[in-house]
Amino acid sequence: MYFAGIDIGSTVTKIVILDDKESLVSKIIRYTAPEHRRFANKLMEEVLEKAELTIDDIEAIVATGYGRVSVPFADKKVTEITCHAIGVSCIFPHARTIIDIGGQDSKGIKVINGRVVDFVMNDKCAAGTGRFLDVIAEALGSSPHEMGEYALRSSSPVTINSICTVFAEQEVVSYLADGVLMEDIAAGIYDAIVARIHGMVRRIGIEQEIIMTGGVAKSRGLIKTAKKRLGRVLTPPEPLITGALGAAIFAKRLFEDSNRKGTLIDKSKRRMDRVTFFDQAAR
Amino acid sequence: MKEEEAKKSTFKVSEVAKKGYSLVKKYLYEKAKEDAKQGKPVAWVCPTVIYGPFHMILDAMDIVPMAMDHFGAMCAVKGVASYFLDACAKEYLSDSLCGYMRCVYSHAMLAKELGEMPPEAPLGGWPKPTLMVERTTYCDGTYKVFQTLARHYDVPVYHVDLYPGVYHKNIEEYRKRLIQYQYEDLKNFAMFAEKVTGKRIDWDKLSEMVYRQEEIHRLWREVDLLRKTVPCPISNLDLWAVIAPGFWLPGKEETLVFFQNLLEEVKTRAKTGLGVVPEEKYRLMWIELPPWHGLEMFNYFMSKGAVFVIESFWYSQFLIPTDKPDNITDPLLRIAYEVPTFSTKLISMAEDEALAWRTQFYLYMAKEWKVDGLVSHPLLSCRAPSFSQRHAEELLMKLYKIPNIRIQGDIVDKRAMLPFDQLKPQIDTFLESVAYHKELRRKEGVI
Repeated sequence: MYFAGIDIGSTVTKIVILDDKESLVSKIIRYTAPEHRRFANKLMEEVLEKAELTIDDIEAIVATGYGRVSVPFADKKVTEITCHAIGVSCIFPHARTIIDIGGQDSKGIKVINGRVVDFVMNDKCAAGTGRFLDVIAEALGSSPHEMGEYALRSSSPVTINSICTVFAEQEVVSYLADGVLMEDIAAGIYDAIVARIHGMVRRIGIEQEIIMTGGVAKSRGLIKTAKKRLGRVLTPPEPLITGALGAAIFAKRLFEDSNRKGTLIDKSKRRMDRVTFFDQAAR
Repeated sequence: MKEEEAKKSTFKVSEVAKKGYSLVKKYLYEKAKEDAKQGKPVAWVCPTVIYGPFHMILDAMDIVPMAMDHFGAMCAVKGVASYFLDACAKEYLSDSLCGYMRCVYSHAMLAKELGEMPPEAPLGGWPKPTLMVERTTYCDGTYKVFQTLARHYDVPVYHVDLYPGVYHKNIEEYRKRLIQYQYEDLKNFAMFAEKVTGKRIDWDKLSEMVYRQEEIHRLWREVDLLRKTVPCPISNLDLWAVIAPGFWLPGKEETLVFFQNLLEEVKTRAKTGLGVVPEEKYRLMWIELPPWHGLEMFNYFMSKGAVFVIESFWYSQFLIPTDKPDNITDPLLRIAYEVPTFSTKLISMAEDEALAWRTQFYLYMAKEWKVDGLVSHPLLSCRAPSFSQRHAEELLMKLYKIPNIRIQGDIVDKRAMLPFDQLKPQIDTFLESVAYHKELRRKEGVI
């Protein structure tokens, strides 16, 4: 038996397929494309092909993330915060604080035994998100990954005073003009982003173990800075897929729950034709 | 209920509350404008105080009171606020200046520019003022905008000094001094209005209105207390509609009848166990004014079985003093008695001097109304009442394990708030957290 979770994030889409022992069968990670409905179907076909499965082999499918409403083949839609909590707790059973830095938002989640007990999210501001780092990396003429590596070499990080993406970029440009070393600028940026996220997550009370997820958690520079401020910080082997993983585990629980109640999941409602938004509206 | 249905449907359950709008439309706008046409002097008043002192005093002087904060809220409800806010932005006014005041200010400026009321003005806008009245307490935005508008219209403005109250070790002595201070200030205000308009107070009329308003408050308080019933018999959407006649038509016979009918209706609903939603799962508390531009958010909460059972005390009536001595017959003194008694009564409830009395009050409400979760709404353009929210959030979680969600926003400016579709996942997760903590409190025997 197989279960799937699809996490359509603002920047990256991830699909995870698990077997009934919750072992990873297949996964796929791609940048999110416009027209989510068409895109979700295409990606699902791809991951099924990779796993040599058909959609009917999947007992339950759960969609999460910003684009979860655009998955016509999902049996259920669940919020990303819940899925992250489940996914992370599956890897780190003692996780209490999850810091997820996504492409367009960042959030702190307090969990106990895989259950969300509190959470906090950034508001209408790009500071402290993956997009913030993209913008700054561009200003430095590097990639976010390279920026993380530069930061590791810094001995004297600069101070970035602004938390606004646009103004922080201006500061970076000024530092570059002053001839400041790239590694010190990169380290200063990580200091600023971690300080902002720390300030936000502190509201829910930071407790060990702290797990950092999201694409930004792949940056070694960021993790080093986070450890300086927060102490022990753990990251999953693949920090991008915890939401999709949680969704797949949720799907398994959904299936088991339905079986117990005798209300089987109706697979006939799934739509795998490449429906577009416009098709959907016409119906 | 499906989400789309929830968005379309409304959980306004009170037939009486629905009539509040027509009452306000008739008296606060149509009749007021008709009176102004007949040559009666017009007073622009803001912000309104829950016991409506300025409106009653002006009414008793045959001066037409206009509620400028209601106008701002109406702009937001009718979806035309951005027209007025944009006009303010063109004049370089800050986005964090009171949303109500920005609507009022640009309404006046646009009226001058167009030579007539801006067509977007809800219910036809306002006639020009003869005088202006504002309350200095808390609201610096009103103070400055009214000062500017008074120059614009070349009319005098009176700044009433309603004292907010602070913690005091000898609260009874402090209260007496405040009552006297307030009384003197209200007398000065009445003399000011007399001097500007040549009108005299009809003391019998004022007295009647004041006693009637006290009865209105008593009825309103009963309604709020009935919201302790499980399931809650009336929704917060109804209660926000009730505020309008309660605040802006104080002391009127029609308002009294309105509240009498409302109480009867809510009593019947409570007695028969008729709740706002078919299955009340969670009872929530709301801190601060609502986003008038996005009230559909409350429908979404209620579609999930989450009902708001109480709001910030500013908008509730259950604390208005009932222990006013009968021998006070001077209506101005009765009003003066209300103001500091209200604030000092709140303060005296604070058992711990170190604990901000506002926070103490939220703890009290959470216990009394059996609250499961807190939704706070920090207002971008009204910071003064928003400052104690963080403290309340932290203590409610620490002491009672009541979780919270902060929805950043504003009363008028919808740009300050996340789009509803982006808020929904946060609301869903918050309700999961509410469910978890509700179970936890039950197991641990916390309130």
